[in-house]
Amino acid sequence: MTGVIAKHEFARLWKDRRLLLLSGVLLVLLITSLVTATQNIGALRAERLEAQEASRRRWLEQIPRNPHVAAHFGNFAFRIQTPLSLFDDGLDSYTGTYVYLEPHKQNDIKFSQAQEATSIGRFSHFTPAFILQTLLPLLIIFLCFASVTKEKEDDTLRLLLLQGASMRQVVLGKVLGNFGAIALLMILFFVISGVALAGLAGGNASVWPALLLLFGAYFAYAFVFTVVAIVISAHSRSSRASLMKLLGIWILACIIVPKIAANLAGNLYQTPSQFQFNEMVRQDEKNGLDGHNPADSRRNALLKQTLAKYGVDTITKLSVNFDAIAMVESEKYTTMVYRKRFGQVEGQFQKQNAFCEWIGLADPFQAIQSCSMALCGTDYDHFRQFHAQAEQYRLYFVNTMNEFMVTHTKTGDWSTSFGRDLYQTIEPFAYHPPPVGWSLARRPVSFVLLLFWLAICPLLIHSTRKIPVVQ
Amino acid sequence: MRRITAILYYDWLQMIRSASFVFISGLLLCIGIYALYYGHAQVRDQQENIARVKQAIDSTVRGFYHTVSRGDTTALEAYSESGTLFANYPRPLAALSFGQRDVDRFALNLATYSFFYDKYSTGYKNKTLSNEIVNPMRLLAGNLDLSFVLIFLMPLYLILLSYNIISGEKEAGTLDLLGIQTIRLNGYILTRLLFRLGLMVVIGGALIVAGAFAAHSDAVSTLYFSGVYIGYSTCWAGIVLLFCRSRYSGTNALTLITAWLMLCFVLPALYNALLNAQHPIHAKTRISNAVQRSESDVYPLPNRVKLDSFLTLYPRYRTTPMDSITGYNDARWWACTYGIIDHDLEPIEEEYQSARSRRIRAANRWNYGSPALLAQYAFNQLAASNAEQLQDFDTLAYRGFCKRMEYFDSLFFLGHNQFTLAQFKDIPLEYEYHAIVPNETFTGPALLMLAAGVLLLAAGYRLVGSTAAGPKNQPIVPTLLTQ
Repeated sequence: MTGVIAKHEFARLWKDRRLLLLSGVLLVLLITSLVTATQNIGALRAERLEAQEASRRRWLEQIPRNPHVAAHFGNFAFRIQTPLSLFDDGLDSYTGTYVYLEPHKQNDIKFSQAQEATSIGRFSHFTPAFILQTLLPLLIIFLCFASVTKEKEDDTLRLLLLQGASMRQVVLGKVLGNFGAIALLMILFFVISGVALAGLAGGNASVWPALLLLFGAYFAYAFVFTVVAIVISAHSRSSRASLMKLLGIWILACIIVPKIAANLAGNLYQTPSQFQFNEMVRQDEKNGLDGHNPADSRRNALLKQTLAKYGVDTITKLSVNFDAIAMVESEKYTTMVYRKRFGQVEGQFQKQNAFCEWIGLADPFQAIQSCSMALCGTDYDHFRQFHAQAEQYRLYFVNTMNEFMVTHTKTGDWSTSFGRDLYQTIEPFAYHPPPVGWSLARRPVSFVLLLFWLAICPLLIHSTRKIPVVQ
Repeated sequence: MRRITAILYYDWLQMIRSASFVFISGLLLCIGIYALYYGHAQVRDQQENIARVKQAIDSTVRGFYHTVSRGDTTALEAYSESGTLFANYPRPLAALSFGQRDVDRFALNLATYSFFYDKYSTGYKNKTLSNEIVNPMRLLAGNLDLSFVLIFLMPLYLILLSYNIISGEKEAGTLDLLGIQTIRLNGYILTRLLFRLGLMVVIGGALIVAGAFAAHSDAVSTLYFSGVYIGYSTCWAGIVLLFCRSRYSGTNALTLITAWLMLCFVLPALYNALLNAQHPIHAKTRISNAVQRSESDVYPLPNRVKLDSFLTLYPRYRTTPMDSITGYNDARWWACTYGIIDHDLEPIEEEYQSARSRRIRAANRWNYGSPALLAQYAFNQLAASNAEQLQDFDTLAYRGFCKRMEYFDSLFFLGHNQFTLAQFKDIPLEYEYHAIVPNETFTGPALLMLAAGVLLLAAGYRLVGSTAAGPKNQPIVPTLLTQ
């Protein structure tokens, strides 16, 4: 019986001009979003790749210098957008573009696109993810709000039940029928997105498993909305009441709750201002080793240790450059300070994000948003991963230069210069995006919550079994 | 008049007896009050941050005063031991419309040797030129300030109250009954819609007044803010009247929600995508490249060449033949090195800023494509939290920096790097910044929305008469009898 109802429902929708019209509108929007995003992302990626190469070129072309001074010349690390940001740009616009890497300091990633945006940019971002997260549920509501109430209003529901179908079977049939039509639309959506992605991804095969998982996640999300819409329709007395309830749910779930959650999280877990952060770092640094200051008492202690290690009594007898040793130690200390302070801020951010993530328990939009950004490599964890890799690279090139100075120069020698041969020993910076498995492991709550929503769908359908047919 | 009062009275009674009306109104008020709290908290945070930077500058300068009072010192020390605050103080109305203030810097200490070097690459000494610390997830979600409530939620409130204003009568079978009353049907519908519009204006207006009062905003700005809101609300009333003519409430609700979604989300998102394609901002990476290149070109220059290059750029400091600069301990070394770097980078920055201006101007044109965008623009303008004002602050910050440098450069070059207690009072501790808020930027949008609203209402008024009553020659009484 469920199959018959599903088939009937699917056939009804297939003939319904509304589905055709609304699907057509969504497809036009999708294609527009893909075209504009491809152009924008393509240009940004090319520009940043070029800037990254230019930074490398300048590093190699700098004049011969003392290794530490050469390290001060620094390198830039540019954040290259992932091909899947075409699908969901997530936090890309709100996280910075590049970070300047230099000795002693861990800099921020500077200049987000949002800083150049006008108020238009804050309304919403036109991506396939926006269409699927926000507009698709509305399409589902439009299609399903009257699926059961209409049968009640036309008195055909009683006929159906008299033929031996249970209410649960009717609801399940309606769910399957409606979802079948929606699934077809979604398949078309993902095929078009896949074609657009193929152009941008080139030979990057890692995007396909992520796209497949995205498809699964959005499938689950659409299924949840379909079930909710039909169950509410079954529980409502009239189509109007059903529509009002569903629109209320949509507005709360997709518009109001995400905003309230993020703002509440910000109020609950506060972060210092940039100025306060800097003051804290400055205070911490004061207590550490100053690699450049010969009068520093901690430097004297290190000198004693070094002299003892090399079995000499004066600095001049040292076979290595003590200035460079001091700088290596100083780097270790400042790294520790920055790790601690950045860690505190990130800890607060993670708490804020976790708070929003758990809202997914009541709002599937939060869960799909988080899953989608994670799979597209545009969430906070990926941003952090870039920052971590950039920081690792900073330590690598600064320490390499300092250690070279330790063994190749003598204490007090700041004038011996080394050129391109030395600079070439430093590998260029390349960001390695983590694999899909990493994204899944970083956001277990969101994925589990999406599954949780999927798991309660049978319960929701089950809840309709005792609905009175005669009002 | 009595009839209208009676209609409104019974309409009101019907509303307040409806549990959903009370619930939705209560929910809206709660969100509105939270939005006011949120906006005020954001403004307070920024004010406190500005105060912290100011306090830090004051405290450093006080410490420096003791050094000077013991005897003369160098201008280089005065430079490094003092600071100049350049702050974009939030206007009171920013508590109501926080706009773009959360993505940009608002409290700068201009005490830096190279403005562009600290701004674009390192921030080695001066973190105030770096971005503010904000969770990007929060930026993505956007501000839940009063402007969000007024722009997104209030039209929804109007839609929920009015979507069945005609079809509800039809569904209840009272529309034909109304047709035989002495009041014109479209007059009756319009009266009820205007009553709902009034309700929307009163609730929104009360929130605006409460927020403006708490933020100590002046009456004129509050009035302008309310004016924009009234224009926006009227526009929505017109849209509602135009799109609620179907005989089915469900269809009306769907049509109106679609209109709301299109005007508040889809069109802005589409405009943004087109804007990004039309005006991409690429100059930032060029600036970062230029910073590094300029630094690598200027640092290794021989001191004499460096001094001569600087004096060619700034001939006012060339009074008498000078000794060459010596190195880090020479104030002029710092002035020359970073003076040349900043001078090199100025054209690239200007190019970037003009690209940004073009983008802002293009975005402002797109604003006319949706009342939601127009209202947001006008609110942000009034609150001085729009992209224009933030860009203005950004560009003026560099001018402030140049002014400060000019003061110290004259001491470095013409005053032989001497600094006395008498000169202490001349240290620029703060350059004031006043956001430009021209009236026409928000009166235009407000009037336009009001006019559009009135036109739509007039069109809707005419159409209601023809569509609500059904075919003209259909007799009313038999219809009632068959029901």
